[in-house]
Amino acid sequence: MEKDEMKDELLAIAAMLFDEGRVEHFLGYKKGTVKFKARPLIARSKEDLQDLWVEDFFTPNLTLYLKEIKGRVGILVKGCDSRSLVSLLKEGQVKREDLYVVGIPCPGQIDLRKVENAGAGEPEDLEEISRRGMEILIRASGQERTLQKSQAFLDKCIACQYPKPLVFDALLPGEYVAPLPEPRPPEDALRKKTVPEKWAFWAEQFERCIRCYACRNVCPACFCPRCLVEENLPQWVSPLPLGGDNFVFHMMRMMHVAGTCVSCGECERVCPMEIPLMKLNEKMADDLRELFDFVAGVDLNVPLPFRTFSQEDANDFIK
Amino acid sequence: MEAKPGMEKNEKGWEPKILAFLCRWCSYAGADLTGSSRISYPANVRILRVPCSGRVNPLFILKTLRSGIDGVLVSGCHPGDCHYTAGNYNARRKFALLGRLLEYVGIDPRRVQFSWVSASEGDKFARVVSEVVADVKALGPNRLFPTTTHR
Amino acid sequence: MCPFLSELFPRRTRTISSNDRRSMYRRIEPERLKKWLGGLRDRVEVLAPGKENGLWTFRRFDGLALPRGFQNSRLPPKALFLEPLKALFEWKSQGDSFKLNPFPPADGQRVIFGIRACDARALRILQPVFVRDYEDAFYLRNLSRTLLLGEACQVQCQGSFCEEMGIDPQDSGDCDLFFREISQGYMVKVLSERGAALMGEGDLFEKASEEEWSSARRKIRGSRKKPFFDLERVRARASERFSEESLWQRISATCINCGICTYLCPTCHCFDLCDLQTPGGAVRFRRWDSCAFPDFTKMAGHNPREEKWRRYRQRVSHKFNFFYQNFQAMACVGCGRCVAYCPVNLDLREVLLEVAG
Repeated sequence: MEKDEMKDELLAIAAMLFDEGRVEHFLGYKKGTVKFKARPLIARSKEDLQDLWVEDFFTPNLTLYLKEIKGRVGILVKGCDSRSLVSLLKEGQVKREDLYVVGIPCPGQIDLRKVENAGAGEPEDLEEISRRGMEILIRASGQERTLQKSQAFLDKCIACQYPKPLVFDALLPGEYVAPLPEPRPPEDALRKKTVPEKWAFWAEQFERCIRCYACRNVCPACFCPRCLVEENLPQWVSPLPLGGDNFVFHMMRMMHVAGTCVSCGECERVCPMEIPLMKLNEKMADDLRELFDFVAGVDLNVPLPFRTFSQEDANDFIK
Repeated sequence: MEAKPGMEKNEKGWEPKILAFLCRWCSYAGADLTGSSRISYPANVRILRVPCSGRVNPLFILKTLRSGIDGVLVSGCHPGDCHYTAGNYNARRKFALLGRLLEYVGIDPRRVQFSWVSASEGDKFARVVSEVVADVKALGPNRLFPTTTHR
Repeated sequence: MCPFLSELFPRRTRTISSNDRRSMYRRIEPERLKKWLGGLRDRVEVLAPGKENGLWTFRRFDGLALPRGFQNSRLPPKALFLEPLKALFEWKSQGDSFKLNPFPPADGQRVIFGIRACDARALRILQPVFVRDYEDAFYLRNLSRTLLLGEACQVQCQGSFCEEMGIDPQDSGDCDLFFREISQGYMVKVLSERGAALMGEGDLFEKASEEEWSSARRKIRGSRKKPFFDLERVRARASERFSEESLWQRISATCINCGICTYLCPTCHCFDLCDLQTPGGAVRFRRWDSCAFPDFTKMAGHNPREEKWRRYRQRVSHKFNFFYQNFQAMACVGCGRCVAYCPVNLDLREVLLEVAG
């Protein structure tokens, strides 16, 4: 079976890396203890690899651990994760020679929130999720329903343009194709609204943030050893979860990751208050493309947008 | 016309308060020239001198808005004239993105404006400030956040 | 295993004695329950489970319909007692001096309908924290002005382990009234005088027997056949396993140091005090804090918990060892939120199983 073949090959590669002393850590996935989740596995030896599990739901972006795990690391990446790698390489946060990158073919990841909202009910009511061609079959509270990929997948997977890792040392067997034959960028109805309507929306979102910092901590682009919000001499951003200070935090985080953020979507996935953070990332990515013809995490040779400039940069907004 | 103390009032006859980040080499000198040329301009603006427009961290603009101040102006040297060669080019990129992000989040772009004013453009500075004040006045007081640190 | 808190820290309202057992149980039809809750709004604030921004939360009951499909709230009800953000006092300068203006604790009676046994227990577990060294006026006022109308669970929440923590999801001594849904409505257990008084006279609630109450116990959907871990073994081994650095390093390796487990936990209660400057003064706030944050123990010149594994070890040890030593109760009710919402699915149940070793 395809999945077993993939897992066996992955085990062989990872075991080889440890046997030959080429890595101190291998980052992969293991089965989650909560339904329909795989979770990060940080293997420090061959023995730890026995928990490797790559059957499905391998949503997390493992490159985040490159912030803290230094030295030689083997890492499993999907196409989107590899863009984070490219970003980190450009930012000088990892050295290519320290990494052994294994690509994994990804069929597209399920958005559990979309599935729950499509009438499946609470997470506890979800019994089974399986794939069949372009359809996702869901059984919840004993009832079966079918969703199209475009209804059940993460927005980033529906928009996927990089199914094949952009950097790799080995590719696991399988097809590296985008989940949808024609990728569709997410539609954001908010962009068409008036400025006061937009503020009405975002002011409420910023009120709801509880400052758990999961979005920041899970983000590979947020690699500062000391975050802006942790500085208190002087205090740049109040740690209080007031709407205004949450606004400053999130806007600054966006400006800080601009050019490095590859819209991997992890921030939105982990937010316990379900704030639609990807709207901000996507807007920023579109702006960078429009303003500076820049796409993050794709071309190692293209300089980061704020490390360079052009005489022809947009000037019309300046008096 | 000199700035009178207590010019900012409550709703009736409310006057906006604008914080202007002016680069030391061009815009600040230009503003100085406005004054010494005795050109009138609205007293609503408070000037904060920075070495270069590139010194202006987006954080400054965000904190200014968060503190309850009604408008922000950032002004620097014309492209090509930066005392530090490329500071204003970096600034131009940052502000292009920040402006769009602010508008997306629902902050009217007329509250945060940018200009290039050289040391000899005393009249331009007066004109820019007048425009910004008029724009912000039309928008009304900054009521973005209920808890402000300024008002 | 651990004595119930009610024996050590008597609740502020008198409980119904066993002599009144005959008056301890009631039955109510759904329409009447809805009418009763709706009617209570004239006198008290009524909070019930509802969805806001897609998340279950305890919000003002609209009187239109009883909540359907509610498992548990995203943020625990502790947020209604120990608020994520609370203004404590403000000061304003006055000439050479200043004026201090303390903000009074919240006022007004309220009821929380639909609270689960785990979250209700958590409130009791937290109570001694806010009375022992000093009396926290805000928490205590919130406790005394609130009646808890708990509801039995019918589904095992993902990640939960309430029974391992000694909590019965279908019974609670920590509420004023406790409801068990049956096919024709609800069975009600009356646990306090305040709860009895709230039901009022009139015929909305019918008298019922202990047998009816007992037979209203359901099999919980999704419940495990055997316990995940043995809490007694965890408690016995927690101290000796403290010094096993490699254990904690391995267990905490995937943790990303966010505050989700802390903020979503019904028993976590660490807070920070922070001033917000205002024109001519400042407001002092209390806000939630988390021991998972790297700077939590940072002080002048030293941070004793610089490394992630130390913070994780502290978190588990505090909940299952130190808090128990101080207050004779585990600072955990097994609600499962930390397991379900951890970004990397770091499962506390697995950790406890390993500590129990």
